[in-house]
Amino acid sequence: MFELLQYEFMRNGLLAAVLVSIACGIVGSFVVVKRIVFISGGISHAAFGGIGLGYWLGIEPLLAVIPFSLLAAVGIGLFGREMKVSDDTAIGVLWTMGMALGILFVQLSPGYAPDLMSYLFGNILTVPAGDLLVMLALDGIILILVLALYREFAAVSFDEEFATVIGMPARALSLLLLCLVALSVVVLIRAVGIILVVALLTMPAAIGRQYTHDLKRLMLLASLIGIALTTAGLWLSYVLDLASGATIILLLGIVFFLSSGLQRYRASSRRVPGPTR
Amino acid sequence: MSAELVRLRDVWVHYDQVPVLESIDLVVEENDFLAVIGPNGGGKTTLLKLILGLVQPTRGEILVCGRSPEEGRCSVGYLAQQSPFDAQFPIHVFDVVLMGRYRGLFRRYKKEDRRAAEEALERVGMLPFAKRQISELSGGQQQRVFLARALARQTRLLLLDEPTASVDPKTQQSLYELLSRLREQMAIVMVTHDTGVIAAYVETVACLNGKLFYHGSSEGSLEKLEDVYQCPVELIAHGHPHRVFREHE
Repeated sequence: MFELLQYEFMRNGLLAAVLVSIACGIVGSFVVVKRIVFISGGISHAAFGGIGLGYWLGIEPLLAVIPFSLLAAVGIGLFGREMKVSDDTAIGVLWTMGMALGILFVQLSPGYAPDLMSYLFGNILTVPAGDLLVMLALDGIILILVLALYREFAAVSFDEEFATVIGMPARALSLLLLCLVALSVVVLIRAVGIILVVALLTMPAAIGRQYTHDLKRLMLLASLIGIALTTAGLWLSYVLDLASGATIILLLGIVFFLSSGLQRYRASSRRVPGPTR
Repeated sequence: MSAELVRLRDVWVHYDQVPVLESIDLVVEENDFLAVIGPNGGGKTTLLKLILGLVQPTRGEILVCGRSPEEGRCSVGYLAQQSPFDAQFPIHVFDVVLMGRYRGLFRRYKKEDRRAAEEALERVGMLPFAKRQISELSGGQQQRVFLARALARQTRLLLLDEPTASVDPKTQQSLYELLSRLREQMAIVMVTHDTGVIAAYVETVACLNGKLFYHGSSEGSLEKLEDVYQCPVELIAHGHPHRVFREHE
């Protein structure tokens, strides 16, 4: 595998895998424990509007996604509460509106939209150096915010009502957490694409959760699982000449099922055998 | 020393045009022990949430420690009837209680906060479970942990919403004894259906069914109780012979 490192695209791919894993380890842990997987799915799909906007305006699509996905996050967060609409419905509305806008923007853009597919399905081996810098900066913002506001984020994830009672601006914090999801969506798009982003926000943390009961450790563990499995998926996709995003997701899914089965087996073998018949 | 902790003046609450609370006037003073009783849907929980600023009145004025409920929150501890939490959340019992010591952004927990959390756990008899994962506890044990979380705040006012609803009789008893000791340090407002405890431990009762039917000493509340619940209610104080009530006909 080491001889692959002499290729720049491979080095960039590995670097992208690490940057992706940091975002999905930290933010994904909140996504899983706060049960906002589908809100995150909604934000990530709505972000397609930003890609389209980027093509239309002729600016770097990844940069156009940042304000767009932040808007989608705040939209889903506020829409549900202010309009007394269920989260479910708010997700359904904004998810599809974002994608529809994206389609219109792409249609309005002059000429053919190059590498549109890589934004939809991701290609971790073709991440340009400029995008790596964007990902690095966003990872930094996520890391700093979570380090500074860890207690607050943990409290609103655990029990938002009590967080309010003890004087936290709980609603603002929940919205900020959705904004972190939006930023991590931007980090993840290049690796697995808009359509599969939600898998990276879910699976590493879901696997990690089976091995720890501590939120901080979960973040670390999920990041490490992310690094191991995205790198392995990257290598597999290279060797087998398969789409990297899909390969990474399938590998994560297989490990998730194996791990769940292992947990179940361990739980049942721990059980004291009772009298039979 | 009878400073006013809570004052409600002509407070109305509507949920979608339907009045839930109508023209409530209520005062809670320091070291009061007030039981709020009434049928389901009578607005008991809403009353607590008003004091916490979680529900906004459609009319009227609420003061908590002379300030708005939002600003007064720092002086109020709260135990919800059912904390809307995810039992599978990866958090230890001790960290749950420590949350009660939160004092603001960037103000890290200190030694005294940890001590206060331990003390609160000790008081509800859950200290041996401090390192447990919250999902490993029963519903009643979780409720005790949340009570410890409210106690750890060491506030002047404690609001409890049916604190004994899912707790076994032995724990109920020790809980009430704990509350009657806590009265020395704070005022307690407790929503409850347990009429026995009212007779034994509580000194004032508020009967709530949309309107405040009665507010006064627990002994005079007997007839009003039946009006509020619209069925016969017995007030029997177990274990406290000096305050046994006659059975009501």
